[in-house]
Amino acid sequence: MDRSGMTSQVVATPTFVVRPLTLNTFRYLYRCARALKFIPALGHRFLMDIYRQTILGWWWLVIRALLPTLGIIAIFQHVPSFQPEGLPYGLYVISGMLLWTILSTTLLRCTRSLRRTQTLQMKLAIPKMIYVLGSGAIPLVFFCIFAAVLIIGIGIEYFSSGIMYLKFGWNLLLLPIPVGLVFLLCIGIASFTSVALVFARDARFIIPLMTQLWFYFTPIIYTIDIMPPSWQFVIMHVNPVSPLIEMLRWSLFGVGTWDAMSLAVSATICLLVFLLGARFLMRTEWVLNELM
Amino acid sequence: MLDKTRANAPKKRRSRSRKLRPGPGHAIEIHSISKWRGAASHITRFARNESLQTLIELALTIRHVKGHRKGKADDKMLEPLLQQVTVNIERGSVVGVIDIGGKSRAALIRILGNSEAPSTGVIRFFGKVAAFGQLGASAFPYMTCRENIEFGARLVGVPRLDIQAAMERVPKFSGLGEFLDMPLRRISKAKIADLGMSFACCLDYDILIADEIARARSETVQTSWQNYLAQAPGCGQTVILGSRNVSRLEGQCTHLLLIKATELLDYGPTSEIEKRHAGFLDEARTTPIEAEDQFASADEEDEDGEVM
Repeated sequence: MDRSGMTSQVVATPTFVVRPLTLNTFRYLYRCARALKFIPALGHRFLMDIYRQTILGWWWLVIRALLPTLGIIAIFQHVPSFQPEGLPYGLYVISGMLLWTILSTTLLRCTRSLRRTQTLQMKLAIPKMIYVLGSGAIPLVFFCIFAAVLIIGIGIEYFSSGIMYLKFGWNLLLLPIPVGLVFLLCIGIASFTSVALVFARDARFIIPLMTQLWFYFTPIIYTIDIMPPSWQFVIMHVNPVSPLIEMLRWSLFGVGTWDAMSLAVSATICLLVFLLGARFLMRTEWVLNELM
Repeated sequence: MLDKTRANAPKKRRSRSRKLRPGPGHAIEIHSISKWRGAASHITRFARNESLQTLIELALTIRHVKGHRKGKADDKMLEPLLQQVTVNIERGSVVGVIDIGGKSRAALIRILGNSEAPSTGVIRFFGKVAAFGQLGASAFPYMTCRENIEFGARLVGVPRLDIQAAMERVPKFSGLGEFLDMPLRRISKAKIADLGMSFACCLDYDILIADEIARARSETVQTSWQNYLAQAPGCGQTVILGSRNVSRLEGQCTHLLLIKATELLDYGPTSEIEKRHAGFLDEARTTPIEAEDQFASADEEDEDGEVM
């Protein structure tokens, strides 16, 4: 190789700075923001873990995302009390699953992220939060699949019955709020569970069970009206996801019951959990480094 | 008509993200770097025997080690690897890092290569950094060697264009072009290491940081590597090397950095250092390397526990 012509550039400002771990949550989040460029490659790696050495390849993602939901729709559309007013049951479930898929897959996948990437963590000293965020690529793909199915479903309804269920207007602008809040909530929870999984593998058995239980306390396959009033209060104000799902349905179809109070409660819970998770991850980072 | 005028107009110069100004003259500023590791603490005990009891012990001791970052923790808990290392490394120097035992050297090079955060201190790099230790980040045996190298480089944040440019130079540099498109599991480990080393050199970044790189097996790589080292000072490129074999380092390096008992002993041109610290270098040559702890940490491959 001939390099006789070249000289490296002389730079006055440092191009790269290595610093010790921080103990300030907001500085930690700032460092995470600066390391966001690592996420695409990491996400690609996590996605590849799912479908590598398979014949169907990418199609596995679609199949795994959709099959359970189609089963739910096929069975529960025959239960009269579950039917929502002014919306076909299929659209009702898929719009709920649009948000729920983010929660379930983020909890499941991001919990494994730190344990899966131990060899990489020995080589790349970036905030551990980036590894957790990087496996968020999987829920993102699942979300896109459900969004595509929802659009197809709306189209089918439009052409078969002639009713346009999607409500066009400023309400569509509210769509990113529930999605973002649920993602923050899950990243916050996964920060705790991913560290727990490094120490004990019990976490991977607990997470799916808890997610399943949580699923029944969220109005996805049933409407909230069929519950007794005391349960309605619990579901709307204790479970931070329910008002967000109702809000998502309202912003899409104009159907759903949510109020500012329950939204405020759930937004506070989501942000708080995210910040606590980031703080926890920051403070356990050096323990993880020594374990590697 | 319009097209013609556009074609004749002088091309707008691309704005550069970093301004070119006369720099401070050194490539790396290392400022009071320290590193402790919890050797005697319960962390190691937990890593050796993962049970509920060791986990509880670990949880109970962590509060005592909280001063870890500032070095205030109990000395019995923490093992120092580096203490207050401050040195400026000039552009265009080939630096060999030497210590007795090899632990401090490995720690310093891991910290420089951004594989590990220091406990205290700041390091400033002036120029693009290629860290050889990082570049082997991806190992998928069924993917080809080329895909693995590219993906590993992308994982540690090397831009795509740089990867492509480097990949074109790798066959000429290494003479192992025919192995690039074979699945990783069919190539011997020595060849993989050679290819990775060639890639790190072909990136042609301003700063190259490498531990144990100087052990090329193939002859072509060895001669290319010698050429690279010989040309580096002229090109203003900085290389930082660490090796178990001290005498080999002395032959390759223009500067030596000596670490004695976790503290910086001296830094300077090789000839001067050899005169001043002949006794230390002899000791480094004869002392065997301590075995470094290597916990097996293969990525798990399990897909059960899936609900919904």
